[in-house]
Amino acid sequence: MVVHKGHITFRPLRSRIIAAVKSSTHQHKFLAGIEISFEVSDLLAGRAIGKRGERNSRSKMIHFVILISRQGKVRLTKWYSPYQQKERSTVIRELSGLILTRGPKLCNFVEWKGYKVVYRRYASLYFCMCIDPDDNELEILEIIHHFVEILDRYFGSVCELDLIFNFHKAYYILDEILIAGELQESSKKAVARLIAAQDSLVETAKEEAGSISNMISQSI
Amino acid sequence: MEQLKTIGRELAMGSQGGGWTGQSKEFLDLVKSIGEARSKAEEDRIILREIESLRRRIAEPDVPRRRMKEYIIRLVYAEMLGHDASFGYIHAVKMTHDDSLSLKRTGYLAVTLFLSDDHDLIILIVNTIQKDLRSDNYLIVCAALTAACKLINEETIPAVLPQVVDLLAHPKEAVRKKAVMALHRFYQRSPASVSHLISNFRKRLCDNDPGVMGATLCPLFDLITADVNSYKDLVISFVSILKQVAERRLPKAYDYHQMAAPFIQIKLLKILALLGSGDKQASGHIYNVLGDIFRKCESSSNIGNAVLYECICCVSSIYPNAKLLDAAAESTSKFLKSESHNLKYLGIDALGRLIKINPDVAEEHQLAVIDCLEDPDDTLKRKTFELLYKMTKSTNVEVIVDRMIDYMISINDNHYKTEIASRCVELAEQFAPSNQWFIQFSVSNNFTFQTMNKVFEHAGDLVNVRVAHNLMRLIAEGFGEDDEGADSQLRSSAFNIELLFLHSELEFIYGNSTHIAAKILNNILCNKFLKMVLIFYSCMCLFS
Repeated sequence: MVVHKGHITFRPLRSRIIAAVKSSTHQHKFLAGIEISFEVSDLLAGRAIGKRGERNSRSKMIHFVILISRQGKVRLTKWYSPYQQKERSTVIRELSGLILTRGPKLCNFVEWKGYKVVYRRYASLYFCMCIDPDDNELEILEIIHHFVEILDRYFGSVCELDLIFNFHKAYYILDEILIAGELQESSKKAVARLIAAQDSLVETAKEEAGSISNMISQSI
Repeated sequence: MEQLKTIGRELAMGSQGGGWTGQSKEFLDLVKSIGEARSKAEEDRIILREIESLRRRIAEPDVPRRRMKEYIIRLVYAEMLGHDASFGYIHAVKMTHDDSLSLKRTGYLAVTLFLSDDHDLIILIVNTIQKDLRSDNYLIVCAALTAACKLINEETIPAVLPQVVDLLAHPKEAVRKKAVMALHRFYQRSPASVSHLISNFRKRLCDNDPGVMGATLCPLFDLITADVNSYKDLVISFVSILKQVAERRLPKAYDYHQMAAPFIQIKLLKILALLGSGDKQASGHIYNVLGDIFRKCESSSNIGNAVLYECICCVSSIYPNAKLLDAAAESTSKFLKSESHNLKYLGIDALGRLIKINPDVAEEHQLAVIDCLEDPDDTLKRKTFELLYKMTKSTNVEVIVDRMIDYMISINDNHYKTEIASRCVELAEQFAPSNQWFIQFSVSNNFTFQTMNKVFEHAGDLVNVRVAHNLMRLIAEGFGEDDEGADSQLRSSAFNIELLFLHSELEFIYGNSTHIAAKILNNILCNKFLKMVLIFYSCMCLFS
């Protein structure tokens, strides 16, 4: 069988069938025909199943995290599975269309392309996480909430503007909660402590740099 | 934070109040203008202009490091909005070499967002990661480990593996935790290169710090999924940990909404579900703690319900225990009766799992299930169809398949349409009350499938192939048996269909034909291969 541009061409198969027809016994012709038909339909079926299989071979908990505003503007994106730049735009467009139009009382989960996307709206911002179909959706909903609570603590009553202008800090925080698509830390205190340590070291370094340059400029 | 404090100080000293970000006014203006852009086109223009300006400035010699940091952040912003800023990647890589934590951290953030683990520039980063993993500043080690989780691939694992293993014993728990996750990630990318180190995961399970222990559950789950039997000895340890967690013996920092370390509980339940599956002895150890958790769970909060749901999943996977199954059925009832769509969804899912063990469970919830089926919420509907799929028997197959087809007609998502279509075919195949019904079903419903959906590529062929496949199998089986009566009737009806098809397609003249039937078949089988095989069979019929 030759696969060309995704379509199977049947020339080799046809010759097999013709050979089978020409072969001697009645039984044989018939069984050969059945065999071939099973083969091909299995192959065609297998291609569809194969796609599903690929998806599961590297199963992570969370495939990506997207924060979008009510108008569909992107505020934060983190990709834990490989998605090319173009694919990313498509994903965001599709999910925006799917999620932003959902009513308030409906499930916080949608099925999308064989995956599930768990989302939750906080004021003007939608937090979305894409997971495998057999993951615990309610747990992911709470992981989103865990993230939001930590952001709230860090920024002090976080609002969308905080995330717009400080998106890099939101990334640092997300990197302490999720790593490689898995939940890394479930204690808010531990996350806050580490972020504070990083921030203060950066601050100290800056002050030191400031004071050293002062010393240098004074000594000149 | 440092820049926040700087701005704060500047504000206090009365200078310009450019906002609380610490970025330059330019960046603020950029973000504001994007926010005020009235169309995607306008937004694109602004960003592209920004990218061009950055491209020039970033290439200038002697850019001060802090300004470079801001340029890189702006490039991250541009890429986040979907534009390409690959000219900046090399500068981000260079920034990771910097000694100052502030710049190094930004560099690492940028490269983990910009690059994937097969990018050419990774080579330039591996050395830096190696060096930073040996730093005596634990924050730098953490930054390097986080980057390693994203950027290290199969080829570069050996370069950093020894240090990561050493870091499993680092005094700081944050480092040990990240080292565990990095090792897990390496295992996912290339199991062979890490297989000799798996015992480390077992050791970290006993770590003093609950965060590290919790992190270790991730790799252990994957390992157990791959090979259950090697880890049966850990059942008792997991049960004991779960018990301690449920008894609130973990530090309060791990409490979440009045539940004790629920995320850790959920991970443990998933693991125990795997270990107890089909194993009476292992399951025996698990029953007590499961019963406790059922009783203690807070069913008023989302997270409490998440743990309850996970308990139900566990109960339905392990060796059956009547008391626990009752508790599970009760919780499922509560879910289904709840007002919340999320809980109804979980209830339907839980019901699907319980049915496998005891099909009668579905009886008492029929009304609730039908309500969900008719709910306007698409997600809930789909989930309920999945449940119906599990509940199909030959007594109700026709009704269920009819419903599924009606639903299929109403939806727009092609991917999902084809899934339902193939499910219908599978159900019809499996539970068809009679062969005659099956052929009729195939013909009339293929007609429906085809008329509705012209855009059906491989998946559409799949549906057609399966139906034709089954038709052919039925014919073949008819040939294989000696008895007359039903079989010959079957054969003749199938044979007639083929004849009609051939009549319309190949202009062979066999006899009477009905145009409508021919058209139906024409629509059904536009797949060339199937035509060929049917020709073949028809020849067989003719010449036998």
